[in-house]
Amino acid sequence: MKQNGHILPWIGSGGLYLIAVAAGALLVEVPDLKTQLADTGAVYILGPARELLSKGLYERADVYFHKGAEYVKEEAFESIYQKWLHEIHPIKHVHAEGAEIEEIMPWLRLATKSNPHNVEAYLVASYWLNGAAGQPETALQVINEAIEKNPDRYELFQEKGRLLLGLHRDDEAASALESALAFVARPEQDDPEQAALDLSFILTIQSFLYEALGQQEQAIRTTEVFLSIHPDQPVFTKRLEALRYGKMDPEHAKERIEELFVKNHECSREEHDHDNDH
Amino acid sequence: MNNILIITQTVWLEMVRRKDIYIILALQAFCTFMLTSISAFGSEAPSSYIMDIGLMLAFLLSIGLAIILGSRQLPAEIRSGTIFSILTKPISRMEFLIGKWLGLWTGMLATNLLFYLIVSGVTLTRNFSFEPTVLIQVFCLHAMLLAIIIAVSLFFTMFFTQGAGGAATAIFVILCYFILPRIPHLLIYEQGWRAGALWGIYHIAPHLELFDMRARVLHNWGALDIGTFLGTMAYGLIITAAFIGFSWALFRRKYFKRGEQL
Repeated sequence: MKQNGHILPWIGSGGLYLIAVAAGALLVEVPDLKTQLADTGAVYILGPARELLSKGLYERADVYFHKGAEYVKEEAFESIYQKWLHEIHPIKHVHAEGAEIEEIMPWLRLATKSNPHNVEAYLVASYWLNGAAGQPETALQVINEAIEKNPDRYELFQEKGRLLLGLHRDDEAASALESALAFVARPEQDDPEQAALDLSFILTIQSFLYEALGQQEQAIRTTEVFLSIHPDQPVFTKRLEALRYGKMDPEHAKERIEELFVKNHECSREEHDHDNDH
Repeated sequence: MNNILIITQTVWLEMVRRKDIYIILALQAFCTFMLTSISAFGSEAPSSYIMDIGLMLAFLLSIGLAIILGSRQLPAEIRSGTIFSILTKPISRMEFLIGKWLGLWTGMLATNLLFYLIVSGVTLTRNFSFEPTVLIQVFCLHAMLLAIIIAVSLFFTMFFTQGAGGAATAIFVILCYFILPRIPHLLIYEQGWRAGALWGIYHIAPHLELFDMRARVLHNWGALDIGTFLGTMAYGLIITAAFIGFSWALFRRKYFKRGEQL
């Protein structure tokens, strides 16, 4: 009996340890397991914490993009302490350039690791990898990973289409944009206004892309869909007529796509005077 | 002075004997090394993030350790009854208090030095270059912050138990570090006596955020000008001295009873 008294705490502790390991294993991302456990208590409880952490890490990336400058908030008064603090933390508005941009990548990676549904972090990572870092293939890998974890987000397919067009893989780009179109048309969108704008944009791109690929029927179809949404667009009405008469200009269509897909970074900080500050 | 050094030495011995520091150091080293395993989407990113998270951990862990160790000193002496044997010796209460503070502070300095060596060592191996002068300034202001926190924790344990003193110090640090700098912004939405009270608190309470200049080393902003740096150090020294003074004012009139469980 005395021996049992020595053993029981060990067995109990060992059991608790095994439960802890099992609980940890449940949180590891195994695709099938994740689907099965999507609505279990652990995921439900940890969800908001992961989202918050991911948001914090994403904001940290923004701080690095602004080379350490924090958000400037409106203040009711100015005292010696604020002036003192600004001596230590100068307020300036600068953006990271060139290789410095890569400093934001670890924060974006941590943001996506802590919450794989942080689509914005994936999109920003892809944008800078494809742009300033000059690594479009890596950007494509990032977007493919994001799609694997968020298979129903049209923004990711739209970005994939953009990357593939840049890599001159036009057929794959068309396929990615078809997926984007399928998901953007769904009624349950986080930002319906943006989704409506993106729907028009995707249709426009597709219309020109199919023209560039010489696929007349597809080009006509997408232009018709566009006009069903925006009937008062004389330019597209003329374009539809031209397409129906078989007037295809693939080179001009490619130029239009390049013009449409030029994307500039927009600084999210409203308090900065972007015309004079930079 | 000799008496102060004797008390300081006993504090060091206690810090070495107990396992808190080793565990915290191991935690810091483990977390910092784990950060090196992050692959930032395959890009060759500079390791500023390692220094960022490493220094943040150094701040958090050192503040936590300073609160734990600082709030333990006096209540432990009272609980074990050693305070009676110490006070019967030719040591003044001021010497006892300063000895405790100095022991904790110098012990924390040594620990902090190891924190910084781990972080800067790991960061240097991952292609992030920084100005050593700026890191030294960060270290000095961090050390001054710890000096204040230790003095505050000693002050609170003059009338609170170990747990309550530690909690009170932690709340004080959170308020002065995170909430106080936000008061000018919060006052936009406040009026009347509440606005007046917040304005008063803002000007009276110690501004601990001034001792955190990590951003300067992380974003290569260069060293702080010597006037501001020395001014901030002097400000920290005055706050520390004030809290040691308040503690002494309470401690010199404190009556100890055998069996008291402070």
